[in-house]
Amino acid sequence: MENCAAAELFDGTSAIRHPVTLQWQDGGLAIARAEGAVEAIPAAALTFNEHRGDRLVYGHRERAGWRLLVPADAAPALLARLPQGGQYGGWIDRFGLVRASVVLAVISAAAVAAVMTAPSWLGPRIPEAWERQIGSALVGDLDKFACSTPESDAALAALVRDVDPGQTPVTVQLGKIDMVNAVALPGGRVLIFDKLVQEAKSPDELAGVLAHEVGHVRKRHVMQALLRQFGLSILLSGANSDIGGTLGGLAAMGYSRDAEREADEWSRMQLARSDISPAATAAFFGRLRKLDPTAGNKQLSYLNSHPDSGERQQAFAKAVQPGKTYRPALTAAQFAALKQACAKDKDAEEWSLGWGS
Amino acid sequence: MTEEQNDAQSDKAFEFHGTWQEYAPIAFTNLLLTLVTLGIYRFWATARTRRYLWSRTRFIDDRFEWAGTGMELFKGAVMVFFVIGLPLIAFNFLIQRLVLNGNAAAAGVLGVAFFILVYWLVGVARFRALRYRLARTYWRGIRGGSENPGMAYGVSYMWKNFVGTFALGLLIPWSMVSLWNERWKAMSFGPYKFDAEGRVEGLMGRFLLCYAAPFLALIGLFVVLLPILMATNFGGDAEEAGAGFGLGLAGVFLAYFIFGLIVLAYYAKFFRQMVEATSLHTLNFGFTASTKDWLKLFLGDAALILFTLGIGVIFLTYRHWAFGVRHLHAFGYVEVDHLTQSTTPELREGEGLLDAFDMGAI
Repeated sequence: MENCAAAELFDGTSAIRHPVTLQWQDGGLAIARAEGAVEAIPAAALTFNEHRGDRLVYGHRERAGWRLLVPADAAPALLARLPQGGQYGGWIDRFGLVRASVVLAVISAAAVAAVMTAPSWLGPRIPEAWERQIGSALVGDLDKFACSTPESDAALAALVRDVDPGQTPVTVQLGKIDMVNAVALPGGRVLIFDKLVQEAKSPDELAGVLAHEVGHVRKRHVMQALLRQFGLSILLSGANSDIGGTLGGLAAMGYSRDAEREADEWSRMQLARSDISPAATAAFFGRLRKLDPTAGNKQLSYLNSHPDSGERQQAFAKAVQPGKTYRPALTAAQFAALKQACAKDKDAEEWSLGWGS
Repeated sequence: MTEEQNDAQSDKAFEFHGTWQEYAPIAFTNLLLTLVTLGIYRFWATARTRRYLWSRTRFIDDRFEWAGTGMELFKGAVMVFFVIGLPLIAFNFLIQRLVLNGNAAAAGVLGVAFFILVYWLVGVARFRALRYRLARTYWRGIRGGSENPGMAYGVSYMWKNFVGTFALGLLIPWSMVSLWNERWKAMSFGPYKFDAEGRVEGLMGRFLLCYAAPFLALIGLFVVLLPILMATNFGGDAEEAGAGFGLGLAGVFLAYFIFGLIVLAYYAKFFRQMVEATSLHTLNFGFTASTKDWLKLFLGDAALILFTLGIGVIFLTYRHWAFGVRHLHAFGYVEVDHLTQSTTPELREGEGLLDAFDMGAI
């Protein structure tokens, strides 16, 4: 009798409760109904569903809704033969809670470390050609906004030579955009906005700002920012798959403060290499500080705000070496050519958000 | 054959048998495993919690069973990531590119289309979550479900909520009632379809009170704080400024509290009325939680979280489930020999959509 037990069966076709008697016999469970019918269920077809306190509930792999309710105090010999239940889920049950938790915590920590550090070690290793392709896919065609005259192109090229010793070319363009700004875009592109040129008091500050943006390109900050945001969104999707939040994170993509400082350092180094004084750039940040610090275009991720202008002003001012003879970054004629480029180039379109006229 | 009568007077049809001591090991191990897996375990945690809550809930003479698994919830979420998440991210990049190229108008149109799409998906997700939960709930070996995939409900959700905002939001009760009815009428348990005939009558009074909340707060502020103001008026300038600030703060707090209370009063009535208007074949339902009960529930939640320094959060699902079952009633009878298996699709996809929009809580 140690293999027998009284139980209840719902057969999954109707809600009728069938009192049954169970008996274990060679590899299966014989279920005898009160009216006499006996059915043998192979052990492999049985599943453990749950422990309900006073009863154990078993199911059938092929029959949805088939439920066998066995009293928890039924013959232990019978219960031992029925499928046993897991608690936390397959893998964790096999390892045990404590061991599984430790292993999972180590794996998670490694994953976090990989994702957090990936931008800095993986970013520079991504071929620049790939970045250019990603860049053109993300950014699209900006050529129609570029102001170009033979003289301004030559002046721009001279400026780029001064601030960029790199091998592969950085595409620098003057954009017909009515904002005091310059941006480094994915794919090794730098865009100087016309308003910045118009407001520039000397070519030296243009060199300083351009060098900063080229610094972003050469230090692979663009790729790093993309990777950081992508990695973070993947990581966060584990803890919270709120798509809205992920999109918000991507939209807010920008360079880290460290990246900004690194680009500034690059800028000062290039200015020093080319004997251009950083004083004008310092003065530029001084003027910028007097403007509303939050002014600027926040709706575009690539145009994110920079570190404190005052701090940057000081850093550039300190880089001025007393006694050193500096040369102007551009001749007066070259500087004038840049200032007139957008007025002379009739083909260039004025960039605007495109609302109305 | 057997006809099981439910005597509503002597015995409550729904009863919760769980204890927090019994649930605590589940809650704490869920928390631990969710932390060490960076949240991925939460699908399995949800399944374990539901299995416990369902299995400790009696209806008439048998317990419910939650048959859903963590794996199917996980698969649902992964599917949603690829089918909806990645395209949405790409869509977002496209909008940025358009703005960058000076096509803000096109970006705006796309943005609006994007918003409409997401709104529609939220509606579909709400429908499918209910459908999934019914399809994975067994009672005496019989489950529920729906034949309807919920796409049309998404459209209703969109336009009814939109119309609801007309006339300063006066049509919101109508849209809520109408969506409840539409959702439940599409659901079934066993061979029987749910019916829902909720009506707006009786809800407007409390809803209109929401509009009066700011004025009520102002009056309350006057009555309570005027004497304090007069008393502090004799102090110095700095004290006066401090008192003014405190007064402003108290006013804002009071306004929020009164508004929240009125919304709660409306919702309590809405929920009672809707559950009472919902039926399943020979069964009618009732819900007895008053505004005071809901308030006690939420104040209890807040106290629990506060006094456990946040850990108590893991017991909220338990508390809310127990609250729901305690106040849920059923009247009528069930003919168990006629209650045959549901023919609706068996669902194995989980609540991916609902989870994606971060509204998975019961």
